Amino acid sequence: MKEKQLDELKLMGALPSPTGVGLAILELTRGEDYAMGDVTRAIQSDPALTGRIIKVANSAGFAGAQGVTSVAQAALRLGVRSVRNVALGFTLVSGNRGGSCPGFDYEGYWARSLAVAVLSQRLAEALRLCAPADAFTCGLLSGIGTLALASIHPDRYAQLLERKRAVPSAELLHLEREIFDLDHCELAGAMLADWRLPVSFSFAVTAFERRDPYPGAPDEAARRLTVIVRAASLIASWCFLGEGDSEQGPARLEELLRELPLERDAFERLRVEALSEWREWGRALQIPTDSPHKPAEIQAEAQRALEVPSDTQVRRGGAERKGLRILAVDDDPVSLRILEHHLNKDGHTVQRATNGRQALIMALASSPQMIVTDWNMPEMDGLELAKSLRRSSESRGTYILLLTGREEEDRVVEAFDAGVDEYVAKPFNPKILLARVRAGQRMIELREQVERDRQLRDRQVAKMAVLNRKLEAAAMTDVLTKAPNRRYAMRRLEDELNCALAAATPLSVMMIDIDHFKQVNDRFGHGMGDIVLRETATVLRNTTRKGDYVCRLGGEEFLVICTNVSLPQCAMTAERIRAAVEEHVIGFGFERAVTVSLGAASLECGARTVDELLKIADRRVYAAKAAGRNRVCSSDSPPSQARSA
Amino acid sequence: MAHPDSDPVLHAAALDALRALGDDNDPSLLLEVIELYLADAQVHVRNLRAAHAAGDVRLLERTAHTLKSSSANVGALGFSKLCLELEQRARQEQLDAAPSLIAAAESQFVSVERALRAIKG
Repeated sequence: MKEKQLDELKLMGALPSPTGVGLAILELTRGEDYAMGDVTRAIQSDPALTGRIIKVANSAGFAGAQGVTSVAQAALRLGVRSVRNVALGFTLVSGNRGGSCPGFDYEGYWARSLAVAVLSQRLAEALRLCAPADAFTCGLLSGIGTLALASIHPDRYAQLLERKRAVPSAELLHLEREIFDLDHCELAGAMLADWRLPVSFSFAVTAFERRDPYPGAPDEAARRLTVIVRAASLIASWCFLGEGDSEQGPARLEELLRELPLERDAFERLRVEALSEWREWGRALQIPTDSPHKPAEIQAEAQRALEVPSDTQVRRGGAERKGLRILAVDDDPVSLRILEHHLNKDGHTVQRATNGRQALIMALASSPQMIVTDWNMPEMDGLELAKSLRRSSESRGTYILLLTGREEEDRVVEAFDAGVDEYVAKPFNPKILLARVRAGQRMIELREQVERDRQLRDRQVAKMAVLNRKLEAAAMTDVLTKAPNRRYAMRRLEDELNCALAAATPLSVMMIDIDHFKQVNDRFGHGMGDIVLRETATVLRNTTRKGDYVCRLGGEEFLVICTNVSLPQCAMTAERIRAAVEEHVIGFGFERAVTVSLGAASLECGARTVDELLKIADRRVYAAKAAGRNRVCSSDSPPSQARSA
Repeated sequence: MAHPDSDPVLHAAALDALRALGDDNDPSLLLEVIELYLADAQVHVRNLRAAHAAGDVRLLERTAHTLKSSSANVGALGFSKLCLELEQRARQEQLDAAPSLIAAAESQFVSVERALRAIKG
């Protein structure tokens, strides 16, 4: 699927797209060098999304490792790119839960996407073919093309699904191509590319449903990801969703496992774990994961899975908690225990560290709202801890309360300079300590409010950027024919010409002019003229290759840019167009068919600039007109392929 | 600032405060704290002598500092006082009296340990 087709679909405004935080993430990560802090902050502004990211990080093949409890930790474990991709995937899920296509099972769609995601992740982990989090995201988005088609053409897609139901053996991809001239796999690939997900993702979602998916893989990573998503999709159909042929299923599953290769025992473990995880996700996202056709065995497993306690991580960041998340730091275990006791009693959630260095690592990992720390400690004392925390953008906002011994009281100014917010002298009176913590809490809540406002503003800015892009796209499109306009054509031609010159590849253009257009307008009115223009544009689009750019330059003039095409090929296409226009653009009440004159030119003619190339093409259109119209001219000698009009 | 020799090994008021901290949610806090203290303090007391022998004044100071605060928490105020004195001398690097102070701390800690174990029962 070509970029321009996607551009056209985007202009229709009906494609599923990331919302809210997803948009912010997309905007923040437009370039190659984005900051981890920006991404984690954007994600953290959405507690539900935070919980999901943490869940993915904790389930992705790190058995035995310490649990991840924050987005920042997840980013360290999975890599910031994977976290970005997972987040994007989820904002797509939550933003597109229903729609207007009557025959489309939206919930079933998401249940399937989650099943493929979870299975992809597990398979990636078991086979060590690629990063589990990447496999998860790719699996989650593997079917996005069907959602997109159902969103863009709700009624026609509903009819298509009706046909599919009537004739189950009909292939969905085939039906889609027949009706839309593109299938959901192509569309998904183009959308993923548009969201700047890796090339391997685009390839995998485009290829995994094809009979012979692997030829054309851009690299090994793309091939491996395709293996994973393909297997996950098949297993999801057979084992989770009760789809497909129950008689042939087992045999084909055996075959798949041999191909992967995956031992039967390992597969059974994987399947049980994935099933339980899938149902957990279903509950977390309120998507039903019960299939009406599932075998009794799976039902029993579902029962067991339901008994798994729900994920406690998701609670983090919830608004209902009144206490703070506090990190208490003291090298003396007795003092630390007593401190923890007081803080717990006042409703706070307490983590403990026994020196500054440990506290620093924990603080960076789990971003506590407040740190209550002793001053004098081995390894790293309270002051060094404060200084280090203030250097990191992640922890710059953490409220630091220092406990000072009597001998340190005259050095408190030094402590404030190091970044400490407040101090309490030891041995402390518990009531005073807790009062100071509460005063700090008011400060923290104000800061967090400011931060939320800032994020809201960032999101609005991101939305504006998207709006601007849409306006830009609109400014590049001809309203009447929906073809790209002259501005787009010139910009595109400039780019293609530079590429072709640099890579020494061929490049051709054809200039197309509708014959006697002025007469059509004069005799039948502008309404008829508009119809002729639109019809002609449609014929041009249908007759050219997908990689060609059909643009309307203005008036009755069109330009087709043919990349990687030499002059003789271009001349042949031009002739095909000429014949197609003559045949298809039927006159409504006027005695003759609409015809066009075409001038073809290419870099082979010696042109080195856009102007030179267009000048040659222009000259040849003129020659075609002079020779009697309805013909192609592709050389500077008088046109010989003239046909009678 | 010297205390009478009859000073008890453990101050009842400090212990009572600690006991009062325990509530329905945390009935065994006192016992837990005693356990934590004993496990930790035994190591530190050994470290006092080791640090002095190695000439590591900073370690001596820090160890004495830690013992000082944790001992005060369990009501061992006399022992805490000895540790404070040791900490101050180490900070000023006046180590003439250190051996006798360390010896006094060691013997006092034996009493503290015995008294605390008696509470634990």
